[in-house]
Amino acid sequence: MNGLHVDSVTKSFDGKQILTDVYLGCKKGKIVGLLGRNGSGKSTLLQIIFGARKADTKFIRIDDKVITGSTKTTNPIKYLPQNHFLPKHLKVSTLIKLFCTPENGVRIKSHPVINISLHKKPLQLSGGERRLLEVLLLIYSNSEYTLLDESFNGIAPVYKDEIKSLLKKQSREKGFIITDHDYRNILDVATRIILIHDGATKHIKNKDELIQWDYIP
Amino acid sequence: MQFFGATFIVFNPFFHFWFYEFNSDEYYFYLNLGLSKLQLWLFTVSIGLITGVITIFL
Repeated sequence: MNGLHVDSVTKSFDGKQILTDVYLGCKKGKIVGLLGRNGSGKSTLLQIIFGARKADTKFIRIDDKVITGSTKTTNPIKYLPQNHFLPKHLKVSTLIKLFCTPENGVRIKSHPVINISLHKKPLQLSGGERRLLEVLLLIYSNSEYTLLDESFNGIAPVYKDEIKSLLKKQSREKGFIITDHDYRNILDVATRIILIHDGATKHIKNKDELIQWDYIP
Repeated sequence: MQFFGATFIVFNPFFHFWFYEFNSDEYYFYLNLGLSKLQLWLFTVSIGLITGVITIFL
């Protein structure tokens, strides 16, 4: 079976079971939207898939290769955390070189916000500009699958539509799993919606099912 | 000087823990570049030990 396959993930904190019955899959060319209430375990699940957090149990496979340990140098998965994660002391141009192929680097550098900030450091950017840089780096990153946690958070509305369009375009080359507090952003871009409810994943077919599962009023 | 060098053995892991394990999401930057937590810790501890040992012979 091709693609990213995540199964049997369980995780508990202080005796409370957060994830109990998780199944999700993602293939290249797909954007999987992950929804759930605050504290439902969306970020925890993404961190487990990425390898940054240990699960009680998990089964993660990419194509025919079972992923057992934490992040390795050959890790084909990249992860955008909720908060700023770029080091403050590196120049924007250096960060682009580290994350992207030369071809994608040219694309990022042509973005008007990034273009005038190439010699700046993340510390010199506003919160929104910094987030935009992080999102663009991850979207254009050299990976097979990219996990985006609250990717639209703090980004100006004018750039949100641009990011949605970029996601759709780049999804031809890789798979995305994306979460956001605003479910409308997810509905706009996702090719498949998964809701985490009571620790389990529910595959959502339409907006009515989100109402049915008590996610939206 | 020997005492100064020995402080690296203690303070390097302390600052590593403070900045990356406890305080910051910057860890994800290195993980995204393919480095594991184990590799980062080994690097920190090694630098502390090397600095500490070198200063013994100064």
